[in-house]
Amino acid sequence: MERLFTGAREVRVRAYRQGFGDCFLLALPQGDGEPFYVMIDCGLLLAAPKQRIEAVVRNIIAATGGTVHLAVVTHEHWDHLSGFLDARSLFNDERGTDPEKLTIERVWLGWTEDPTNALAMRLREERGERVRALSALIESAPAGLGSAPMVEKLLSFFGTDLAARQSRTSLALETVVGLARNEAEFLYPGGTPRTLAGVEGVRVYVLGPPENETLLKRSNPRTSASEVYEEKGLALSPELSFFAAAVGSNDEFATLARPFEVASLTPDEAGTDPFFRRTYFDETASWRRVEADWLEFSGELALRLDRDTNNTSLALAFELVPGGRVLLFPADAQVGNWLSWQDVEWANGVTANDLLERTVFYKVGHHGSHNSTLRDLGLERMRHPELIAMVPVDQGSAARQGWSRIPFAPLLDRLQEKTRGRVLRSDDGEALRDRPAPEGVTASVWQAFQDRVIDAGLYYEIPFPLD
Amino acid sequence: MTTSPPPAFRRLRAYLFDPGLSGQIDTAAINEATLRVGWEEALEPGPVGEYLEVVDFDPATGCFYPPVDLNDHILLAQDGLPPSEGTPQFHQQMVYAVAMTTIRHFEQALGRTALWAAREYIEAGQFRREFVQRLRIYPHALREPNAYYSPAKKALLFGYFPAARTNPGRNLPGGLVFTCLSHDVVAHEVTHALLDGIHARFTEASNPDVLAFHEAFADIVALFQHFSYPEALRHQIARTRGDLASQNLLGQLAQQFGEAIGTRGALRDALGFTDPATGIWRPHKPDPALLQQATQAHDRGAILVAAVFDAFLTIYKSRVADLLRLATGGTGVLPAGDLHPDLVNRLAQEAAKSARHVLSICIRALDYCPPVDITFGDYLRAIVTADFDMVQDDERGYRLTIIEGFRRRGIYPRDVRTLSVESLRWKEPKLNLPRGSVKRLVDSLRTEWDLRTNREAAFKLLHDNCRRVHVWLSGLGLDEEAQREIGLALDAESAPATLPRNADGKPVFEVHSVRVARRVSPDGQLHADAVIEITQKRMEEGLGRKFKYRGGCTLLIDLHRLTVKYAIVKSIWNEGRLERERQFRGNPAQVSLRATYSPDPGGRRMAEPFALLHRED
Repeated sequence: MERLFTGAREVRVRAYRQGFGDCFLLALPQGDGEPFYVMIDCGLLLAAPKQRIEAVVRNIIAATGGTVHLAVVTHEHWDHLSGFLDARSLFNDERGTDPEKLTIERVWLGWTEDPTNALAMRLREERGERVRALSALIESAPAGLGSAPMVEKLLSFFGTDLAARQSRTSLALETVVGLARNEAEFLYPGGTPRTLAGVEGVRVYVLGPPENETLLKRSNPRTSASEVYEEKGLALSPELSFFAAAVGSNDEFATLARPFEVASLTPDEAGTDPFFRRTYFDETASWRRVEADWLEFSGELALRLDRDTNNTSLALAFELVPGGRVLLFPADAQVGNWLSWQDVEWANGVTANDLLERTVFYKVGHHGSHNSTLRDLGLERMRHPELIAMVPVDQGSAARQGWSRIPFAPLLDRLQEKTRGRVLRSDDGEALRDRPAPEGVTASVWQAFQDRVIDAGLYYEIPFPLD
Repeated sequence: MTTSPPPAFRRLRAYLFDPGLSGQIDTAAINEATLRVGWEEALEPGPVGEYLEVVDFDPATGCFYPPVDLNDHILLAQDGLPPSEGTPQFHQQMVYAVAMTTIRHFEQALGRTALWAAREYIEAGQFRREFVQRLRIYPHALREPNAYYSPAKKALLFGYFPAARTNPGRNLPGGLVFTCLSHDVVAHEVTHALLDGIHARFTEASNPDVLAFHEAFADIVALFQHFSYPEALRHQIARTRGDLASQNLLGQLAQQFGEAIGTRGALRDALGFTDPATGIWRPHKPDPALLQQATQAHDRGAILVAAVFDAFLTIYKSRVADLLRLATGGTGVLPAGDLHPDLVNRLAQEAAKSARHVLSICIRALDYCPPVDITFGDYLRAIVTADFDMVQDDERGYRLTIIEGFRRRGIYPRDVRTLSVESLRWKEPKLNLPRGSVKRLVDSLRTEWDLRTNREAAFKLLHDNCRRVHVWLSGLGLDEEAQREIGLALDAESAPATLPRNADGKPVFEVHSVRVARRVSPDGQLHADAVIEITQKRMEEGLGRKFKYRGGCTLLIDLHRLTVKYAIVKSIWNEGRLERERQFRGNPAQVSLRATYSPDPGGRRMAEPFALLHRED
C-alpha cells in the first residue's frame, strides 16, 4: 500500500466504505510536502466482521505513514467509534512508537463530552442511565413487548453488551482520548475558526452541537413550532418513575413505585377473585389484557436516547481557502443541531449559510435517514455546481434490521438532483468506472467525475482544489 | 308498597376539570361537582354497565384494585365517593361518569345507540367480525405522561406519572398526576373510541388531515362538554364578565397535565397560548397560512378546533347581544365590577345552548363524511350539509358563521368554486337508476335502529344490511359513468388493474357500514336516512413502498322519499388524489423516527395512533 500525498494546491478526501459506519481521512498540504492528516470517526455497525474495520485502519496507517495529526470523534455511537476498540491493537498508546501502528497526535470532541462542563456531564450521565436501564429492561422483557426488537437494535448503537449491561461506546471514547499524545480538546460552536498547524488557508468551523438543551433534544422535521409539544419538561422524573417500576434501577424513586397506599390484590389473589376472573382473566377476552403495553414506553425512551445522542454530533465545516470551497461533515446531526447553526456567529463574520452555499463535499448525515439532512436551511442551501455527496450506508444490512427507510428514498432523489448524479455510497455495487451516466447528466460531465474519483473498493478518494 | 319507576339519573361526584384546580381557592368550589349520569339498572361493580367496563389493573406494580360498587346504598346516598386522588375506587367512578356523559352527547346528536368498533380478526383463515359490547377502561394501565384509546384492544389506557421537577405549574414537583382524573382527557379518549366505532378507516393516515381530524374531533367534544355543567359555566362567565374569548378554563384542555409536563399552561387551548418568554397569555390570531405549515396531527387538529370554537364564540355573541343591550341601557358597554347574577345566569344559558347546538352539528356531520381519506374541507362540507338537512332556514346564520370560522383558518375544500352554502353542500349523484330500484333496496333493509334499540341487535342489523346492500349494488348494473359518479369501479374490464378481483373476476368492493340517521328538525318534521359506506382499495406503490390506496363513497338514501340524496365521494378512479397520497407518504415530515427504526411502524402494538402525546413524533 502506498502513502497518500497531495499536490501543493489540493486536499484529498478518502471516504472509507467499510459498511454501515463512518470513517474519513483527509490529507491537507503543509509547506514541507508532508500532508497534515485528519481522521474523522472510525466505526462500523451491523454484524460486519472486525476485519473490515481493521482493514480500514491498516489502510490509514499505510496512507499516513503511521500518524494522524488529528482525530475527530463526532459522537458516542458505535458506528462512529467501534474501530478504536475492535482494532485497538493497531493503535499506538499515548507513548507508543511502533511504526506499524497508528499514532494519534490530537483528538477533537464536541463540548458535550467535556468533563468540565456541567450540562455535558449531566447529559452524559443521563445517557449512561438510560442505556443501563433499557438494557436491563430488554433482558427481562416479556414476550409480548412489541418495542423490544427496536429497543435492542437501537442499543446496538452503543455497542451494548446486554449480558454485561455495559455500553462499549463510552469505553471507546475513553480509549481514543487516552491514545492521543495530547490532551483532548472539546469544541464549542462559533468563535474563531480553527486552523491546522502548518496548513495554510484551511479553516475549520464548528457548527454544532448546539449549546441549547432544547435544540439538542429536537429530532424531527416540523415546520410549525408549537410550544405545547416540546418535550423539554419531560426530562427525567417520569422516566425514572417508569424505570423504577420496570427495572428497579433507582432507589430514590422506589417509594413512588406504588401510586396508592390502599389495599389491592396481587395477581394471584385477583386470579381467584370473582370480579377479576369474570373480567381481566376471562379467557375469551384475553386479547384485551394489558400486561406489556406499559413497557412500550421503553421504545419511546430508546428513540429519545438515539435522537439525543445523534444531536450531540460534532459538526464541522472545512473551508479550503478563505471564501472558497467547503467540505461539510455534520456527522449524525439531527434537526435541532442543524437548526442551531443559523444562530452561530464566527469572529470573521462568516455564517452557516455562507458555508452551506460553498459546500462542495457533503458527508450525508446519519446514513441518509430522513431526519439528518435539513431541507430548507440545509441541503436546499447547497448550491455549488461542483457538489458531491457521500452516503456512508449499507442498505442491505439496514433492511435486515428492519430499518427500511435508511437511506430515505426521497432524500436520495434530491441528492441526485442537487449533485447532478454525483452521489457516492459505501454500498455502491458497480465500480464507478462501469456505471452509466445517471439520467439527465451529460456524458462529458459524468466522464469528468469518473476520472476525478478514485474507486479503490475499500474507499473512494476525491481531490479538491485549493484555490 | 308501591313500586316507584327507576330514577332517570345516577348522581356521581367527579372533578369538572382535574385535581389541580381543587387546590386553588377560586376554582375549588366549582371543580368538584356532581354529574348526572343516565341510570343503569343493571350496573355491576367495576363499574361494569351496558357500555363500559372499568377494570383497574396496574401492570407496572402488579396491583389489582377492587372495583367500586356504585349500587352500594352508602354510595347511592351520597352521590358516590367524594373526589380523592388517593382512592382508586374514586378514579373508577370518575372515568365511568365522564365517559357515560360523553356517550350520551353522541347518542342524542345521532339519534341512535352508539356502537364500539367491531373486533376484526382472522381465525383459521376465516375473517371474523365480532360485536364488542363494552369499551374497557384501565384507569392505571400506563406509567408515563400519556393516555390512549387502543383500537386493537377496544380499551382506554390511562397513565400516571410524577410531575416535572422543574416548572411543574401548580403541581407538587415529583407529585403524581393521574390522567384518568382529568375530565378532558377522559372525554377526549372516549371520543376517539366513539369516532372509531363510526369511521374505522379514519385511523389510516392517507393525508395530513386524517389523524388530525381524529384529534380535533376528540378535542371539540371534550371542550364543549365543559359547557354542559352549569356551575362551571356560570363561574367562568362571571369571571370573564361574559367575554368567553378571553382566557378561561372552558376553552382549555387538560390544565394539570399540561403544567405537569412543563408546558406552562393547559395541554391545549382553543383561544390562546402562554408566551413561553413572558409567561403572559395571549389570544391566537387566525392565520390562514398556519395550516400549510402544520404537519403534526395535534398541531393541525388544533387549527380545526380553533375554527369551530371561533364559530361558537360568534354564535354566542350574537345570541347575547340583546341581553347585553338590555342590561346596559342600550350601550352594550358593561359597567365595571361584577355582573348581576341574573345576567350571569342568562348568559350562561345562552352559552350552554350555543355550545349544545355547535356540538350537535359537529357530531351529526359524522354521518356526512366520506368513508376514507377525510380532509378538513370535507368536514366543512359535511357540517354544512348536515345542518342544511336539519334546519333548512338558517335564520341565525349558523352555517355562514361556521364557514367564516373555517375560512379564517385557511380551511377550504379542494373541489368547490365558492364558499357559499350552495356550493359546499354535497351533491345528489346522477345515477339514472331504474325505477323502483331504491325502493327495492330500502324494502330489504332493516331500519329500526334508534335510541331504544338493543346494541347487539343494532350491530347484527348493521351487518345484515351491509350484505343486502352488497347484493343490491352487485345486481344494479351501473354503467361506467354512474360508477364514476359514486367513485367506484365495478366492472372487470374497465376497473384499474391494481384493484383486486374476487374469485369470479369481479372487482372487490366492501360495504363498510349501513347506519340509520334519524332526526326531528325544529319544524317538527321527522327525517330518516340510510347512511351507506362503500369502499374499495388499490394496491399501489410510491417511493419504493407499497400501500393500499382506498376510495369509495358514502351514500345517503332518504328512507321516505326513496332517493339517493347525496354521494360523498373519494373516487377510486382519482389519479390526482393517488399522486397526492404518494407525495404525502414520502414527505419527511410524515416519517417518524419510530418508522425509521421499526419494520412495522403502523403496527398497532408499536405505535398507538391516538396517544394523548404522540410518542416520538
